[in-house]
Amino acid sequence: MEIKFNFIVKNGIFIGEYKGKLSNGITTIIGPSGCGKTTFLRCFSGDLTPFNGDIKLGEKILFSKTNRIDVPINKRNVSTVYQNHLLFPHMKVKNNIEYGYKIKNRPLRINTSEILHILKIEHLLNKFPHQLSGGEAQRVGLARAIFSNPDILLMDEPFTSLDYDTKGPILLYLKQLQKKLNIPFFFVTHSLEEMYYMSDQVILMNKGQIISVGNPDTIILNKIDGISNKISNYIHGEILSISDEKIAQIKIGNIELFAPVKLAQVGSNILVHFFANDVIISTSNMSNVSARNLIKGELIAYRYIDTSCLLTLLVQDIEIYVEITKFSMEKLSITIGNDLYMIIKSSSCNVVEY
Amino acid sequence: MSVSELEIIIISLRSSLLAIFLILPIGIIVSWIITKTNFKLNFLLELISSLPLALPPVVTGYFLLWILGSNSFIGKYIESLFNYNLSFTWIATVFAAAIVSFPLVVRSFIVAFQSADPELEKCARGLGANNLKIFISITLPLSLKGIMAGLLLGFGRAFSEFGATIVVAGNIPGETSTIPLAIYTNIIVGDPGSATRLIIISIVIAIITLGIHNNLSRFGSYRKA
Repeated sequence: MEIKFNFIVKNGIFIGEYKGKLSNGITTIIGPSGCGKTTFLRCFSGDLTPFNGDIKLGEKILFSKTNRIDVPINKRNVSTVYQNHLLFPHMKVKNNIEYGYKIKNRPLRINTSEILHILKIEHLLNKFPHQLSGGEAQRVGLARAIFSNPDILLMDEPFTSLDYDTKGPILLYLKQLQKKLNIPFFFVTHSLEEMYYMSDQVILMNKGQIISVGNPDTIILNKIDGISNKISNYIHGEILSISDEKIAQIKIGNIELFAPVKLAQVGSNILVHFFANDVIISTSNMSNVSARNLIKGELIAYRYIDTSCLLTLLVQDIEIYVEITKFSMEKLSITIGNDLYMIIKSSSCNVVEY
Repeated sequence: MSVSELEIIIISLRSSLLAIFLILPIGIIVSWIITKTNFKLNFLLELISSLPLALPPVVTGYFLLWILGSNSFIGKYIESLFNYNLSFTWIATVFAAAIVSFPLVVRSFIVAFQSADPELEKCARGLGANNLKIFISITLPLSLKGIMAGLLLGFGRAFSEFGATIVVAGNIPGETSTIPLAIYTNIIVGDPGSATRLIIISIVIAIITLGIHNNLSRFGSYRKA
């Protein structure tokens, strides 16, 4: 489905001008606070009416000033996942999830039990929202939006309030869900990490305007202040053993990684999380370092962001992001195709169960 | 307690309860319009619905008599329809009680509706709900305790009504003589025994009503997630 828009919106003293053409997939909308990301989404949901212009979702016109079309919010078939999830407090999880589904009464694109399984909320159906943790509530909010069978799913910084342990698995589910549903997802964030992890395409915004549209590897992010630039890696693995010091030996494809665990058991599937800037790069294999994790990878891409450089290394079929300074990049004089060694302290790794 | 005192209590309870049933749907509609719509004349609606709160009840009763009496257009119409004049009947006590308690009920409903998070209503709309569905499934359940509290407050006010009732319904024993009117009569004619019994009944009903009201208000809202 192609999404076409060209509109001007006034919201108080804020004026936003948006023009573009987007394809299916996950579109991340990134930019500093107050740049107009939410305003942009609100025009799609119908919560704000543009001053002029038009918004088209495939063949369906949501808004057109010239044709005097402004589809009411409840007829747009656009669902939103909010940062504060907005679950109905007087309804059980089951009723929350079914709310939009029952009203619209349209056949779902994917199996209901499959959504519940992917989002891991089957066991929560009879609970009330106040009995849920932040991550659970956010997953239920997501399920409610998906069950309403929308033509497009809008997500307004849905994971800002969640910690890394909670956020990682949800980001994974989202990617899976988008592929299954095959509808456009708009994902507002001010985190580069979420952008890299999620996007098929990126809209970069600043001061009420779209600066550029592109894929996450080519978009120019320099000189945009206020974007959180902590970039994370989330890697699937399985725990092989746990030492007495609570350090787990984790199998990731053919490689092994060591990371501290709290409650995880041997045999459980986990995500290993570490920040891109916690990785040290070496061009040679250093055998005598204190860090426990030494992983070889091939440099497949790199790009400069202000004073740092973000490298993408391929280890088997896993992409790992590494952030080093521009200075180090020049000092090491590395290029695409080089084999590099990543040194990761086990204490920098965080094991997330899902 | 004499048979006539029991009759007085029944008349009082009947007029108060019917008054509450009468103003429940009207109060909900008026409060919903005031809180959830942006009509230009909403301020006028709010003013008119609050007016009996500030007016002396005797004045309210006088207007009611003017409306229901056989000289008014409405009074004449009702009389021609049912061959029955509403003034100085038990039905007039219901109207009097309803009108004086209406502002309190509407004010409570407005507060209750305002306490229902508009973001949740917006979210429901985004999921496809129309105004009626939003009201029934979101606004009403979230304001239910506030609505109950408003009705109890209205009941308390209707039960204690005196001024408007005596003007529009008179003080006819066995017909329109409610507890406050009967207490007044007993004091005037010198029957302190009957007056005391009715006063005690009034105090008990007032305590029960306000007791439930206060507890509802205290546990008035759903826990947020």
